[in-house]
This record gives sequence, C-alpha cells and structure tokens, in this order.
Amino acid sequence: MRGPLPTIIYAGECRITEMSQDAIAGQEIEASEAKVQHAEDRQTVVFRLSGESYGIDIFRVNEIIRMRDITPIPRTEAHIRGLVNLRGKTIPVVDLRIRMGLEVVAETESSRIIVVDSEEGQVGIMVDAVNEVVTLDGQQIEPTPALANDDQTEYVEAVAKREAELVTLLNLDSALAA
Amino acid sequence: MSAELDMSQYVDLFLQEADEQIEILERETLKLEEDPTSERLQVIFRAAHTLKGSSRAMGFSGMAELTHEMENVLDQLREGHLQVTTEIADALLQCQDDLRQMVVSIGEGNGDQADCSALVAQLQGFINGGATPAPSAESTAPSASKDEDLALCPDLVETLQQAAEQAPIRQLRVTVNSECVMKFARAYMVTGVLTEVAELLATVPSVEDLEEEKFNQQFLALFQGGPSDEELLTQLKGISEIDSLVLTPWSAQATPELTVVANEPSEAKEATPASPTAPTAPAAPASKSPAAENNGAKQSASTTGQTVRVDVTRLDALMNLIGELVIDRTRIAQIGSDLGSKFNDPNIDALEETVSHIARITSDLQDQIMKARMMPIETVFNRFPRVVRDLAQKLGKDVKLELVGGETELDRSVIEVIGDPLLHILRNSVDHGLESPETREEVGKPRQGRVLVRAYHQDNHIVIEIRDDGRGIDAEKIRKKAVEKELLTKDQADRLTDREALQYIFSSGFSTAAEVSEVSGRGVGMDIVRSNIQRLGGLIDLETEVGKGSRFVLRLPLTLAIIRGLLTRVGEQVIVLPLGSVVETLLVEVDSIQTVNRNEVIVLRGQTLPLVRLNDMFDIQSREDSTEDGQYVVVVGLAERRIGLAVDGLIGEKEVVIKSLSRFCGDVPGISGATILGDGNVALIADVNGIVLKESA
Repeated sequence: MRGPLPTIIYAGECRITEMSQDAIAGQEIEASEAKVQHAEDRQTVVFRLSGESYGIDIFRVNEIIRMRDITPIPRTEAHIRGLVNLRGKTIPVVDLRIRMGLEVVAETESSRIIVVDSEEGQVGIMVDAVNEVVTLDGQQIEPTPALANDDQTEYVEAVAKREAELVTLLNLDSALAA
Repeated sequence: MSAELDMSQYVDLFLQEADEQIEILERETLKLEEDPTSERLQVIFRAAHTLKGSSRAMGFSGMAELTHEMENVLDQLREGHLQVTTEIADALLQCQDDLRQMVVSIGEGNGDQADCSALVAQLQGFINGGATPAPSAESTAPSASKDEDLALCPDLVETLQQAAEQAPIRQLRVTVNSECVMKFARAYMVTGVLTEVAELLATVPSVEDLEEEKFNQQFLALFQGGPSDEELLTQLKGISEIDSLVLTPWSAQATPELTVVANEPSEAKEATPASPTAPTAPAAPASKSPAAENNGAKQSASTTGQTVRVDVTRLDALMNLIGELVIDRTRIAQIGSDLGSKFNDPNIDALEETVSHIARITSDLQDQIMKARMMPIETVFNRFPRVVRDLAQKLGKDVKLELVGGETELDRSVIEVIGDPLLHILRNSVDHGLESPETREEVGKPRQGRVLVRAYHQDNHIVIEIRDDGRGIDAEKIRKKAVEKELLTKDQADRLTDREALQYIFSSGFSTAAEVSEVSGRGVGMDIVRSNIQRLGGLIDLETEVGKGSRFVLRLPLTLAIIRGLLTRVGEQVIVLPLGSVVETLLVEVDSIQTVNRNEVIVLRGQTLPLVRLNDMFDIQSREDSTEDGQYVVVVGLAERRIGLAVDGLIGEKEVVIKSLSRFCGDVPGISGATILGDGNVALIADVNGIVLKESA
C-alpha cells in the first residue's frame, strides 16, 4: 500500500532544507569523543511545540495532515486528545505538550498532526507547526544535557545544534509509551 | 521439460487437503456406528485412500503407512469380512487423532513424526482376527491387460471432428501400473508433457476426473500437433509406473489400428510409419480450436463446483474498503441534500438520483461481501459429535446428539470465537445436565439422553440453542450455593426470583456439580462463556425445568463488522448505541426522575429502572437547553436487566461500520469502539452491555 518512503503533505509555508554534507561540515568541525556514537546523518522532521523546536526521525513519519475535528475519548489519559478520521481509519491523536508538561497554546492555521507509526499502530501527534526536514550531521548531535524540566528528560534522546537554534530530538517510543 | 513436482510448494495444498479428508473421516466414522452402510464405508475408504496417496506422494511415509492400514481395515469392513464394532471405531478415531497430529507437525515443518506402531499393530490385529484370510486390496484390483472401455461422449466427438479438420488428432492410451498409489500424479505428468510439446484437446475421463483419480488404470489423451510418434513416446517413457502407452491416429469412425508401444524395454517397438501426422504436426500448435476449449470449460463446470479459495485477509481488506465506501456514500448523500436545500438546480436532482443509485450498488456490494465472509455454522458443529462421543464414553453415559441447522450462515469473525463457548456449554450439558442411564431409568426416562444443538436465523441475529433432557437446574441449589460462595447474603438470595437466581451460574467461581470432574466444573467456565458472548454483542439466556432439562439460548449478531446503531447526542458529541440492545426510547418529564439512595431512577410501567446519564459517565458537558422539554431516555437491556440511559437528544438510526479503538488507548470503560459518520467525524460506540452489567449489578 505504502512505499518505503513516507508521504509528506506539506502546507505552503513548509520547505525542505536538504543541507549538503559539505555545508554542515563547514559549520562545525570540532569532533569530540562523546559525539562519535551519534556520528551518522539523520533526516529529521523539525516541528514546533510551545515555542520550542523538536525533531523526530523522518522514517517514523507516515504523513503530515492538517488539523481536523478530534473526537475526545472519555476516561483516557489527558494527553490522548481523541480520535480523528484518517481516510476512513480512526487513529488516536496525542498531545505531547500535555505529556511533557509544556504550555498548551491555542490551535492556529499552522497547527498540524504528524502521523507516525508506533508499536500500537498509527498515532497522530499534535504540533503547533511543522518547520522543515533537515539532514542532521552526526557532529551536530549531542547527548541530552540535564534539562530543567524533568518531565521531558525521559522523552528526549539527544539535542542537535543548528545555527542559532537547538532542536530536541525526541525518543518517540518512550514519548508514546503508555 | 519433465513435469517434475516440486514438493515444498505443495505442502500447503497437501495440508489443506489432509485437513478436509480427516474431517470427512471423522464425520463419517462417527456416523458409522449407528449406520454402517456400505456407501458410508466407501466414503471413509476413499478419504483414507486419498490421504494415503497424497501423503505417499509428499514422502510422509508414517502417514502413508497408517492410512494404508486404515484402508486395509476399511476394505475388510466394506467386503463384509469384518463388522463395525466400538473397538474398531475407536481405533479409527484414534487414527484420525494421530493423523491430525501429523498434519500439525508437518505444518510446523517437523515432518510426520508420531509413533503409531501400536495403532498399526491394533489395526493389523483386526484383520488377522477377522473371519477370512485377507484378500488384500492389491489382489482385488482388476488386471491391467485388457483395454478398458473409454467411450467419448458424442459432444466431444463432434468438437474433435471439427478440430480434426484443422490438423490430425492423435490418441494416446495410457495404462498406469496397478500398484501405483498416485495415479493422478502420473496422469498429471503425462498430460503435462502433452500440453508442453503438443496441444492437448481432451482426455477421457476429463482432466478434473483424472486429478481426482476417477479412473481405473487407463485413460485416453487426445491431442494435436507435437513431435513425431517416436520422439513423443521416448519422452513419455521417462515417466515411471506406466505400464503401456499406445499411440494411434484418431478418427471419429472407429478405433484404428494400434500404433504401438509398451513400456517394457524388451517390447519397445517403434511407431508404424503410418500417419500423415508427422509432416503437418509442427504447424499445428498455432491453430487453437475454440470449440474444443469451450467443450473443456463446459465439462469442468459440470464436474466441479465453481468455487475459489480466497485468503481471509483479502476478504477482510475488501470489507474495509467497502466500509470506507459506505462512509463516503453517506457523506456524498449529505452533501447532496445540503446543496439541495441551498440551491435550486436540476443538476442537484440528478446528483441525488445518482447518489441513490450509488447507495443501492454499495449496499448490494456490501451484502455480497458479507455473504462471501459467511460460513455455515457446520464448521463449528463438526467438532461436537466427537467431543460428545468421547465424553459420553468416559462418563458412562448414553447420549444422542442432534445437530440441526448446520447450514445456517454467519460471519467468520463470529464463527472463530463462538466454538469454544458452545463447546463448553455442550460439555456442561453432557456432564452435569444428563443423568447416568441407570438414574434415567429410575425416573422413567429413556436410557439414552438427548442433547439438541439448533441454529437458526431470527431478525438480524443468529440464535443457537443447546437443549438437554437431563435433570435441569434447581434454582434453590443455586441460591444456596451463591450464599455459600458469599456472592449473596441469605436475605438477598431469598428475594431473587428463580430466573434471577439462575443468572448466578454465569458468575465466576460458581459450579453446582457436587464434585469437580475432569470434564467441566472447575467453576471457571460459564462466566467466561458469558463474557465471551457479551464481547460479541450477544446474549445468553437459560431456561430450565427441574427433572425435564435445560435450554441455553445464545443470540448473536450475524457480523461484527457492521451494526445498526441508534445515534444519540450527548453534549456536542454523537454517541452510537447498538440497536440490538435498545429496548425503547422515551421522553420523560424531568420531574418524574426520582432518586433512590442518591441514584437516579425512572419508573416505567411499574418497573423501576436505574438511570445513567451518559454525559456524567463520559464527562461531557451537557448543552444548557437540553432538559427544557423533558429528558430523552434510551432504555437498553441485557437479558432480563433494563436500565435507562439519559441522553441530550436522539438523531436517528443508521448502519455504522465498527472500527476498533486503537490499542493505543487501551480498554476504555463504557466504550466498545468507534465509527465514522456521514460528515466524516468520528463517533464513539457505547459498550451498552458493559454499562448495563456494571450499573445494574
């Protein structure tokens, strides 16, 4: 049914930034021992949650859809926002902001649902906006620093430095685990 | 070139066939004791024979050996040299168990491992102990020397004649060795070669019959074109277990002179020069004969049922697609009517017309797919006779099991899960329900106990009834037991009606059998049975009369994929209530809602029903105006229990496609699934049975 690569539906404001290896190598050259274990390129989908940038591996992403009506499911955990209709299938949507103790901001035109594969089937993740897809060089990725917000630590896999911004790379499995 | 069979790719096919044959064996053997007709023996013999042939062909020698011995015994029975006794029937059934095990083991890739030497010895013992010295199967086989009369039917002759105008036809008479166990495979190889190098027009008997081994030792193959006689014979001689091959030019008038050849090397003569075939032959394969092909098709239609095996996952995928189509259909219809109310345009009428046509087609399509997923409940019933027989023997009871309505069809999703609960009830009936023959005689009943399993359709449901004429269930005993097990206080128990008391046999930890037997009565049965049936959206009910017997009635939906639902509004949300559980809908005055022990109740025709507000239950904010003109209440029921569900509004009745809640959400109390409405929004389906059980407990 679906090809090996994920289908990504972009809204107009999104752009793909494929950074060539040379360009990235020019930015950061100091390779430390600690970084070696992350030394592979990763294509990452970067999105915004409560004003911060987060990233997940592009191979986990099935598609990105516009916000739509979510039917709440009573008596489930707070971060499970409800069910949406994805072309005749019903899939649950989670709000990682609630899960990670972030401030929940109101939906806007740029809000999206990222549909990912989880162990329990397809799951949608509500995000404030999807920025871009970037190739992160292994050298840009650092292990998780001690975060002020403890709620987040268990869901974070690593942090990537990009130009002026930090991208928190999520460990999707633990972020979605029950 | 050679038609070599790659065995591995046939294993699946073999296993499937083996399953079918074993099922036939078991079914017929069970009937054998009561009704040992020679036709029945013939059927059993044929099944054993087919198994022997195919297992030998696949190289499963253990299985082949066992079936061979079965065949010998069956042959003796068939010839009347042996009588059907319980020992023989037991041994045959034991064989079937062993065969099943082998099939499982083969399926797991472990070959046919099973030690059946004792069984083989037992079977041989029957024969040796039998009256007459065994005339073995081999010796009864007709001698191969004489040509069998293989007549061509007039239709075939006619089409062949037409074909012969294009190119000459040759006829090959093949005699298969009488010892050959896999005649069909040899025939297959011969026809395979002919199809490859020449154009095979027909065989006598037909190809289908050949495949099913419906021929003695000889068959004819008629073909056009292909290499010269000598070349062809050389190729065909490579096939083993063939006694002779005789190639002749064919003509409609008469069977012409032989053109030759036996497979014995000493006698191998070459084809007589004769025949104008050789020169024209190479050109011939190009000219297809439609007449002959049509004829072939006609033949196959008459001999085999027109069925195709389809993987269930494909049917499931189809069902999902239909589900989406149904959703879109509803959606288009809604858009159509929205447009219709806004604009006045003849195109909209046309649209509505088309929509209603699409609606008709999709619902036909849905019906057809549903039908394709339907299976007769026989597939479940077939397990019963054996179980009951073994059980009766073990318990020393005499039981007559009647199965009625096996042809009743229901969705395979239901079939898959209904087997075990039914079997459990059946076991209970034989074990606890029926008395021993002695007791039965004492109370003036026939020694033989009767258990009837009956299935039939009623409305959109299937009803399965299991009835026995045993001792029945004493409500008084149940009350005592329930108090003993501390499920009830003495006071509570006394207030229960008999019917209510009986419901306690479905509670966990409940068994009325005086002593726990191996068969049933560990007290973990009926509650699981009931919860399984309720999970299917079904109901189970029990009627009993002490001394006369009991009757379990199961009511199940025909399918688990699509249900009719009552759409209700709760706050801003739509909640679907399965129509099967809905008893009635009411609009009651707000004042008439009373409270008992701080629980709301309504009184309906003198009966007090607990009232459950769905918006409280589901934490949904009610609309403020909702109680203005009274409170909508949907009365739902499960067996005898009734409760009222308070909702904010009633929307209507609709067929909905059930989608399971994602595993991601876990088990949500009160919700059994979700569905997609015509407007594309998701609505939740309430687990009415669960709510009733919880609220009325």
